[in-house]
Amino acid sequence: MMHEMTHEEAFAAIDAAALDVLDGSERAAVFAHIEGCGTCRAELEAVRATVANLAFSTALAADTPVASRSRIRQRLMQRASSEERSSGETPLSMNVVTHPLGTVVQPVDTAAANGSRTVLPLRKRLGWRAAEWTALAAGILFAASLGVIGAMWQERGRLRATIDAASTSQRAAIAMRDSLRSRLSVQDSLLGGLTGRDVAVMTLTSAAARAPFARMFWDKAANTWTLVAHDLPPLKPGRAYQLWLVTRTGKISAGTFAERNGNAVMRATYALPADELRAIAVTEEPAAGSPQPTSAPLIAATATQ
Amino acid sequence: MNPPIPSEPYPSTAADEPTSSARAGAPAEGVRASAELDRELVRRMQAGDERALGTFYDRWFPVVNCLVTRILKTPAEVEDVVEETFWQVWRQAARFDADRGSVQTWLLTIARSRALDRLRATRRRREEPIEQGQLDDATNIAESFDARAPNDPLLDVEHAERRQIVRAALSELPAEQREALELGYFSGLSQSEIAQRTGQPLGTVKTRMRLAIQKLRDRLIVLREDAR
Repeated sequence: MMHEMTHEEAFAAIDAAALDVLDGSERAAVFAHIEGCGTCRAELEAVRATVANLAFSTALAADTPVASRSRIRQRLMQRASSEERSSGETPLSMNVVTHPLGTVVQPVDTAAANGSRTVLPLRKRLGWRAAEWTALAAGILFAASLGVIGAMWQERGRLRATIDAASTSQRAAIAMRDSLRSRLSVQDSLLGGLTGRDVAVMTLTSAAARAPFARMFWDKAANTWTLVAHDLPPLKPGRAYQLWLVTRTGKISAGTFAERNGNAVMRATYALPADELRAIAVTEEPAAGSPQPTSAPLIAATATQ
Repeated sequence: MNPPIPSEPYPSTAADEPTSSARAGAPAEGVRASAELDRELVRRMQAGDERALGTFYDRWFPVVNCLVTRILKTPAEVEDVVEETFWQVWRQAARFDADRGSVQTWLLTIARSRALDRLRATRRRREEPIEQGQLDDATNIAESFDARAPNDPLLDVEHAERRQIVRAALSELPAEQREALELGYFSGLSQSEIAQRTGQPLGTVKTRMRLAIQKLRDRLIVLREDAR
């Protein structure tokens, strides 16, 4: 028999419930309580959101073959597509038409094209009764109806093709809108990092001729660092530029980046007390980055508050 | 504003400050926009839009793949479970309730459950001992910007920031709390199994897990949509 938990007992076990580490009977008792308790349900959802973030603690899968990613995607899309086709197909509807000449059972979508029907043979008589004349009229009407249905079916096909084409265009437009919206959001964030009230700007220079230069925008309120660099020399294969935040106690990597036509924009998020920063510098390092700089800085600047 | 190059650009250091101690803030606007885009994609999947599934897969494959790889390790099983995760998302999109949680939580809960189901089934079949997982040491921020998998670079940045924040938060937990959390989350062990495995009383394990989650919750509040 399941132990009935008090609210306090269940609430105390919600962390473990969200992590799904409760043992059988305790788990059942906790979820039985949560089922009827709004407070516990809300708490469970909140803790689940925290727990889900643990997925981000895993290292990037460096060796995931691109082929695997594409293969899974292809299979998924095929499955979704075939499912939609099978569920989207109009079921073969059957027309059951009863009339005095007999019963016709015919798939609607082949009715127009198919001339052979299971119809009882017309009884030949010298003198027809009124019912038989009625049946003949009904037969003629039925044949005419089949013609109309056939025409409607063709029109339906044309409309369906038009709708499919419109849906494809709409999906493309929606995808484009989503992509643009996403990019706009990042651009807004980038602009915020460049123009915020608490942004400090530092210029990184070099003594060499035709020297590269860069500006660092440090948004102290948002802890974001945006580096905009120009005239960077091309990198050799397997190499990357690495940005360093030099503090009183050490050199902190803020990430690696590559140049394109000598230009680069790089963003990092790092919380640093305003008075800790002494300098910033960029060095050339192996593509995976270095724990500490292994070469002289290409460009550097002292900190401005 | 245009300072000279420092004569000593790298001052000598008594102790290099580890990156892992960083407490960073996430751009809440980006989090909100990203979450809204995910909700929109799920709405479109509810309407049977296959393209939405493709876009959703492209956005989330790297994260789901990392999580499933961490739990299962065998490439064939990983591939299978990743596919089944997104297939479940597609089939159950209509059941997603935005009022009860985020798309991210929903997706990653599905991915973890599927991976743990597979792990437990494999264990039962082979009677193999579980592997001792270790949380990756919080490493250089540089890794976060390593674009190994071709993806939307802007999304990569957002996920890299999230990864950095989560790993920094984990690095601040005492080792025993982190271990308990890891054995529960990645190895799928129950609290009593963790107690048995670590040789600690069940009550101690429960306390460690509770404290760990409470601390994480405090630290990761910046990742919430409504953080600011």
